[in-house]
Amino acid sequence: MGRYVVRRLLQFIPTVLGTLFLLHYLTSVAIQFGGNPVRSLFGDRNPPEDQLRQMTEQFGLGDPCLKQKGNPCIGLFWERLQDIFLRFDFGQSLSPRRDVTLVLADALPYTIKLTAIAFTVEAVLGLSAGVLAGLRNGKFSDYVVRVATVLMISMPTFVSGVLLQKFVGVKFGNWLRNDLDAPEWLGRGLFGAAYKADYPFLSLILPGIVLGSLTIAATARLTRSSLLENLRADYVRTAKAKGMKTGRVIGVHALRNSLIPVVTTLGLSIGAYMSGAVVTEGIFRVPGVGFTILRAIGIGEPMVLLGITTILVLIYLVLNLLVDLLYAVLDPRIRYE
Amino acid sequence: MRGISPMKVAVAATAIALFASGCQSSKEPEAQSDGGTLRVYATEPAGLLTGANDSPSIAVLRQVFAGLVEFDAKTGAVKNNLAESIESPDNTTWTIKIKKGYTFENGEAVSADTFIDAWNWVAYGPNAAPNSYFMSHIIGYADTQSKDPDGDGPQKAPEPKSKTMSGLKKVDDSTFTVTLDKPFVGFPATVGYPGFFPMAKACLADSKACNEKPIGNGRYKMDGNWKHNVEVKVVRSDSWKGDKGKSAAIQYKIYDKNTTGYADYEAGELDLFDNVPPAKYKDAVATYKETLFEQASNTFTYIGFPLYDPRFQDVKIRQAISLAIDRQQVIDKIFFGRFRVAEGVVSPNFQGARPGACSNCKYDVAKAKSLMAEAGGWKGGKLTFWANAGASHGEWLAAVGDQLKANLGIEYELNETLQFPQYLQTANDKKFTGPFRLGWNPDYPVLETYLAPLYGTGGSTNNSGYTNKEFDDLVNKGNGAKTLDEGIKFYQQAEDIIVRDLPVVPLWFGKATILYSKNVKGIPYNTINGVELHNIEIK
Repeated sequence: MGRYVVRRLLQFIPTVLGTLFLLHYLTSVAIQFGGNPVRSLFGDRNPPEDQLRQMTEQFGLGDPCLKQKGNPCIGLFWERLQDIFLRFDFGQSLSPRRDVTLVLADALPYTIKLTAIAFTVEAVLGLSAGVLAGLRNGKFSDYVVRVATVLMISMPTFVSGVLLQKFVGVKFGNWLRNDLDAPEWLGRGLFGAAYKADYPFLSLILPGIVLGSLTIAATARLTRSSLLENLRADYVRTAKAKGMKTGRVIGVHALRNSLIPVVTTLGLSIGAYMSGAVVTEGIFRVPGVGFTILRAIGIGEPMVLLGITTILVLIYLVLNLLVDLLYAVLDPRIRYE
Repeated sequence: MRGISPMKVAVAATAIALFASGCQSSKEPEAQSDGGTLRVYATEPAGLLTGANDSPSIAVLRQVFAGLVEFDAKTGAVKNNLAESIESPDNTTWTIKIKKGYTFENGEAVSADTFIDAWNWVAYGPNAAPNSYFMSHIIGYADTQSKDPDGDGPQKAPEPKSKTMSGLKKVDDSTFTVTLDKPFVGFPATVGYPGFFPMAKACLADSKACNEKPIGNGRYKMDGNWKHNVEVKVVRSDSWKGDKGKSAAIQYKIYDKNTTGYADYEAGELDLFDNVPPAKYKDAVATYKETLFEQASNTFTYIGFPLYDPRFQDVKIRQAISLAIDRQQVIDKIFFGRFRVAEGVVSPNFQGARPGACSNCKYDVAKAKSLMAEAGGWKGGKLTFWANAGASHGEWLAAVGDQLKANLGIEYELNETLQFPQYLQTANDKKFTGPFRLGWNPDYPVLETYLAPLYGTGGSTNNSGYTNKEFDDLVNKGNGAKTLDEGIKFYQQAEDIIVRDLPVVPLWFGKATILYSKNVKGIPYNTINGVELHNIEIK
């Protein structure tokens, strides 16, 4: 077990380096072809050469390789790695000018909250829908779940997010607020059109549902098929034959074994939430990691992207490792040597 | 158990809602005795220090700080604010006297030093204030910039020669002088810009902390730190001696997308929303006509001619192209009337703007055709229109191109491949191969801001490469005039030269479209600064 963990941790190093280099290369190429992002801080105006050069250097973009198209900027990459891993200096964001570590520290709590909500939504709704469909295989509720999940899978977030915002946040919310005179927490908090600082938790529920709905379908389907398979297994029949209560047979025997593949999707979806909330956070103005990534791409600033990605890659890798270790807990047959 | 039917969910939700509303005693919106909180749409500012030059930063800075002068809401005329007087015998050395008794939030007095130090701070290269170039006409500015050691290199640039500009001199605690490198009659108007606000000593000592919570001297003061990507909140300041802000607080709610802002406006979360997404414009005008405010703004859009390309050097060809464009039609068809046809190259809101100044900006196909014939017809082949990528300029440029094709028979193509920074670099390097779209926003309410930078020889943003001694002389005469009114006469003559020579095709000026909530009693609009947030009353 210990050796396995150490081996996995060592594998982190090439993965992180590889991702960082790819991102470094892409952002460098973007500057080489798209032009110096510092220039866009001045709008249509041409800033004096001296001023532009000084500012460019201060943001760490003064390296001449950023003017040579296609140059991978190895020297710059080496410098950045040293800054990030030796000095824990992630550089500065362009607009507003701040340390990237601070930008990250601001954004992470929102995304963690949103992830927690989305995860709860996914786990509760996905699992219960899956179990329901699995137990009532071939009946009406099974078909409802199957049709609903197909719809959910085929609806991209930017559609479901905008629709929910318009019809639930604005239309239904306005009806609550104006016609029913609903209390603030309900009308403005829960059914608002965007994130509100006054309701730091309630106003995240709607975006959380949008985010969670991405993976509810996969979870429900997986739970359903896995449960169906196990219900037909020999040990379940044996358990029934022994005269065990149905609740115990399903809850303890069948369900626990059915959850092993589900844990994988659940665990990996946390990683997806942390990074994949770009669209949802953008629509609902949740100032988390996805929102920050979106802004950084818009402005074309490489340092924020590099910083955030380093952290995201680490989170993803750790989650992956945890999911793999969880297998051993759920299934005693699996051993890590 | 059957599946949960959608009907049941709806009934349950309604029941919850009704139950919840039943619990609440019906609340009448009480009259806000303190003035209430104004909730304003904003985007993330680039920085809250003196020296920021992006509009979201400026919107906050204008409330938190007070500058030497203000602009009259209707006429745009310069009025003294903190300044007792700004005078000069020769338009070069200006003596500024400051009114006594004003203080910063932390109790420091607003003195000559606080202005001198702030301006030096903004100018000093290593501070990287975006507005640094505003100080470039003050003597000694060059010494505050670090020079590139080897022309182009990763080596650390050396420290600038000096941290202060020799052109700023303190006379006494409330008087100082500014020496410019050349005369400029409009100087008093420039110091109304946020780049010229004062800074408290405490801020100079810790500019990082101050960027998060500036120590101001204005009508409002920061309420807590700037919450990045969430909001900036300011509350009425007790230490401000002038007329108080009407609302008790202003909350700048920060959005990244205007579509989200629009949704939040529709949900009643915003009192002021000024960034209607183009796709929603028609819808917004129809739905919210009761609470819609429109006013010509100062944003100028033009198509520049690359005069370094011989095909565009004949003035008649340029005039013909300008006359063959039906601007109003493009505005109506593509933008649903969101712009105003340019009748000159200076904003119609400015003192000295003349309606109809540009006779070559009218739509006159017959004249266009005859001018083109006089010039010997178009022999330049396909015309390439340039625009920056990803900003949906293609649609209206194609409309303009279609008009040229129909009226003058010129074939065209669009080039929308360059990202904005690269596009600006190309403009600066004078590498365009056809007419290019660009815009301009004024820095201060003097006509000069629309003239010298764009068309003057060596002007910072003279991307056409236009040069005309007569024009330069007229601008210089205007700058050196005894009064602004006299200067305006020269600026107008300079404008006449531009609308005759047309180094650019003036297209249109922007319109500010502002949606406000029912809580707001109308929009006090300043033709120079935009909405005067401090003068908005909340019901």
